[in-house]
Amino acid sequence: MIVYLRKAGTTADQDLFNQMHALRAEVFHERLNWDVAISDGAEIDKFDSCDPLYVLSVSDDLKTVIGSVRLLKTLGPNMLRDVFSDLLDHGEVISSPVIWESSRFCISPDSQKTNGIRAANNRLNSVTIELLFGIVDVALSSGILQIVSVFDARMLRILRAAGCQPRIVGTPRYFGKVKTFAGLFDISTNLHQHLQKQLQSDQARSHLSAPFVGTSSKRAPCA
Amino acid sequence: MDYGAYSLIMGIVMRHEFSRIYDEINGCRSKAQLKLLLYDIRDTYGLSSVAYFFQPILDRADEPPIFITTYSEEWVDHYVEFNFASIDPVLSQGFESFLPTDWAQFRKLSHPTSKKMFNEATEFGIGQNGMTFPIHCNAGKALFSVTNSQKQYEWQRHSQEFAPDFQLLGHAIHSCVRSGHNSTVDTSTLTKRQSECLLWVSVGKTAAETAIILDLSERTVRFYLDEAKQKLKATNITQAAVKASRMNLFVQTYGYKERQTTKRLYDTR
Repeated sequence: MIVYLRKAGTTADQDLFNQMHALRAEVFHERLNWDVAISDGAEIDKFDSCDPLYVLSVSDDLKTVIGSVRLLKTLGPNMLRDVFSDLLDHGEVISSPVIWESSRFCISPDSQKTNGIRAANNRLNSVTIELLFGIVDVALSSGILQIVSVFDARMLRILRAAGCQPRIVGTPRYFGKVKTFAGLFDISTNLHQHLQKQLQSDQARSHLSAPFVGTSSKRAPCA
Repeated sequence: MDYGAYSLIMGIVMRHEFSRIYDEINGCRSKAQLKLLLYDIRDTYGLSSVAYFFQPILDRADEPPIFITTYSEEWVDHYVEFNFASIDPVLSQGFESFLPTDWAQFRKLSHPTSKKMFNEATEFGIGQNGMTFPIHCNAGKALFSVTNSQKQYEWQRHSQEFAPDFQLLGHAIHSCVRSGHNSTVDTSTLTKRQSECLLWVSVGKTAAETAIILDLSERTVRFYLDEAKQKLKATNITQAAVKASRMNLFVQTYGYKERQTTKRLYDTR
């Protein structure tokens, strides 16, 4: 189930945030070996203090974070503008009221066991689809037309496999050992329906007790 | 005509109308002109009301809040008389929000004064349905609100379809207001060429590189940079660039590029 959060309001929210930062540390530091700062088992960067919107995939009891991604406005501080601007051409900047940046997309390595889904090689993890749907759902109702992102080859494959049709912008480069791309994909009702269908068929296939309904995503009141 | 064809034609008409209004806002030089454009937006999109509100961070005497709306004078007087600003959830929620806020959530409130306010608003011509878009701003807080009186399901469809328009229009209005706002410098904005030259230099390009990018001679670029510096009353180019970005002058330049991008973006929706 999808939860949207900003600054931690309640203790329950703070617990979800703690889990998210721990998950990010596990994925980006331990597994992917990226150049990220870890403190007390948590991965937090300066963009976390730029007031983003977080999209979390959580267990049905709302207690466990299974996946997360962070959304920032391209009009304000964001990773492409402030860290990875070399990816774009000629000092070009992507900055628009209708474009958001997505970053720190990660899912729990345990999620496949939790959901009881055997991930076939070609099929995407349902948590991945759910997170993407979470992004597209909130973007569509907010008048956002595109999502821009800095990602590696793995994420590019995921976006393609999910049907997002990402377009590379600028020129890919190596940052450390990681070949890095800047790309964007369009938000549309077609993509929304496409992801929703994938999600519904995943749910059916995994025989989860709570079938996906269009409004199972929960909006925090002040997101 | 079947609904599909109607919808397609209306889509094309609305894209054209959006572009027209958007360009006019970017060329706008006065609050009076801007107010007329708000009425234009109201009528073009079939809305009941359109409102823009900006509150500077430091509530200094020389920087009062700016309020440009299609609201009737009677409603504004009523709002002020009853000090609705102190309890209006549209303001308090809107300022804190990342996402656009739908007024439907406020109608469910049991707070008696808010309820009374929304009911009275309807009597003064403000629509039953409303949405408020927060506008990103470093110098304060800005909001852009639209209301209409359609049936719920029609509103849901239209608000989603036109949400990108409202995001872009609200932002354009804000840039227009901000660019004329700083009274300590020349209130006329930079010309497009002055702005472009300053922009490239501010991201680290030399005058020579800027000349290549913009297809001008280096001498011409230096000339524009000098003019920009003088207009902004800056002692050097770096300071000029900082001043310009703070005044949101660069948005006019991005806005030009953005318009082109926007036209392309709409093709995919």
